[in-house]
Amino acid sequence: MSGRILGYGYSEGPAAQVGSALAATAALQAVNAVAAIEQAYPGTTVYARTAATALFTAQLTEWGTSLTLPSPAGGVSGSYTLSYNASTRRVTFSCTVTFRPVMPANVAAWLGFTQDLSAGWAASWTGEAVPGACVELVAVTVEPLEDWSQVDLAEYEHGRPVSTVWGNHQVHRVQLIATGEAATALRLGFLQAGKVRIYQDIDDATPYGPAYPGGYIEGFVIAASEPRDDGDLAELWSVRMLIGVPR
Amino acid sequence: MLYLHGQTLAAHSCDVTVGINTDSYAGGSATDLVTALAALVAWLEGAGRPWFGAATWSAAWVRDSATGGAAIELTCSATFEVTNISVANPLGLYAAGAPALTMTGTAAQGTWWPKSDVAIHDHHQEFGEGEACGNGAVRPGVPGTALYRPRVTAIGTAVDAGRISYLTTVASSPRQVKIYHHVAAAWRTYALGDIERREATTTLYAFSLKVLGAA
Repeated sequence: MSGRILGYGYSEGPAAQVGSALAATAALQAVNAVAAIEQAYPGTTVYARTAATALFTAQLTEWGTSLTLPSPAGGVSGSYTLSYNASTRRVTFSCTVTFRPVMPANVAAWLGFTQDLSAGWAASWTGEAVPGACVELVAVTVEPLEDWSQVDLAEYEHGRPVSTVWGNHQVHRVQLIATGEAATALRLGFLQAGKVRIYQDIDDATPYGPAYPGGYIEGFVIAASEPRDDGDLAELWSVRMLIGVPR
Repeated sequence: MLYLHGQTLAAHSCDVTVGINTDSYAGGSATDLVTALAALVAWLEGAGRPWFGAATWSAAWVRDSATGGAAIELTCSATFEVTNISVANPLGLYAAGAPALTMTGTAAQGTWWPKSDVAIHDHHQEFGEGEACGNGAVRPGVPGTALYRPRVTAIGTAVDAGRISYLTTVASSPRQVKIYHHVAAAWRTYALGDIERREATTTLYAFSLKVLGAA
C-alpha cells in the first residue's frame, strides 16, 4: 500500500486528430502533444494531442490511439502505445514499426524522456528518467476536506447574532513523502501546480468521500512547500501541499 | 448531536403498520429536522391513528458511525413496521422488512454526531467586552438582550471530520445550527461561525465551534 500523485495534462484540443498542422495550431502546448517520425516516412512528423485536459494515464492512452489513426497527410502505418510502468517508474513509447519519438515543448520532462532523441530508429523507446507527471509515493497523508470559506459571525442590535458565509471550494491538507529520485520529478513543478490526483493507496480506485476518507482525491494545487529532505542521507523527501476542490 | 440548517427538507411520506392496522404519514417540506421529527412522533401518537390507545411511541437520536451523522430510533410498545418510504427521505427512515419494536434509521439530513458527541459549555448570556475610562466603565448591549456565548467542542474521527465539512458546503447562509444540550435536555439554536479543527491523536480530531446564541 503506497501512494501516487498524477498530474493532469492541459489541453484545449483540437479533438484527437493527427496531422502536422497540430504543431502550428498549438494554443498552449506545454504538455499536450507528442509526435512521431516513422522510419518509412522520415520526412513526416505526425502529432497527437488529447481532445481535452486529461489525467496522465488517460493522456498516454489517448495519445497512442490518436497516433494510430490514419493521418490525413499520410505517414503513419504503425500502431502506437504509450504506457507507464509503476515498477520501473518509466514511460515506454512503442509502435509496431520502427520510429523516432518527438517531444514538442517540455513534454520530454513531463514523460521523463530526457535522453537524446535526435537520431536512431526503434520500435520501443523508454524514458531514462522518472516522469514529471507521475510520482510514486512512499507515504501520503491526506487530511479530511475542510470548508475554505469566509465566515462573518456578527452581532447586531437587540441581541441578534448572524453568521454569513461565502465560499466555493474546499481544501485538503496533504503531505507527500517520496524517495530522492521521485523528489527530483516533484521538483520539476508539474505536480505543484494545476490539477492533480493523489492516491492514498494505488490499489484503491474509489474516490474520497465524506464517509470514505481513504479514497483518492482530486483537486487543484493552491500551495506547495519546498521539498524537504528527511533522514541522514536525504533518502526521503517530504512536501506539504494545499489541494483545492471546487464544490 | 448537531443539526445544521441547510437545504430544505423535502416533503416525505411512509406507511406505518402496527399489528393489522396501517396508516399513511405525509410530512410536508420543512426547514428544521427537529421539528420534522416532532411532527412524525406527534402523528404516531395522534388520536386519529388506528393503533391509538394500543401502542405508545418514543423517539431518540443515535450516532451513525458509518457516516458521522445522527439516525432516528423509533420505539413502540407493540411491534411495528415502516414501509413505502418516499424517495425523499430526510429523516433517514429505514424499512427493516419485518415488524420490530425498534426501528433505527440511517443518517438524517444535516445531522452530525461525532464520536464524543457535541458538548456545550457555559451556555449563559454574557455581554461583550466594554470600554473603561477614568470615570467609569460601560458594557455594550442592552441588559436582557446579551448574547449567549458558549464554548462548543467535540472529538471525532476522520469520517466525522468529513461529515461536518460536507454539511457546511450545503448549509444555508446565514448559517444556523441546533445543538442538543444534554445537561438541560434542550435544543440550543446558535449562529455558527468558524469551525476549527486540529489533530487530537493519531486517529481523532478535536473540533471547536464558534457560536453565538440569541437572547
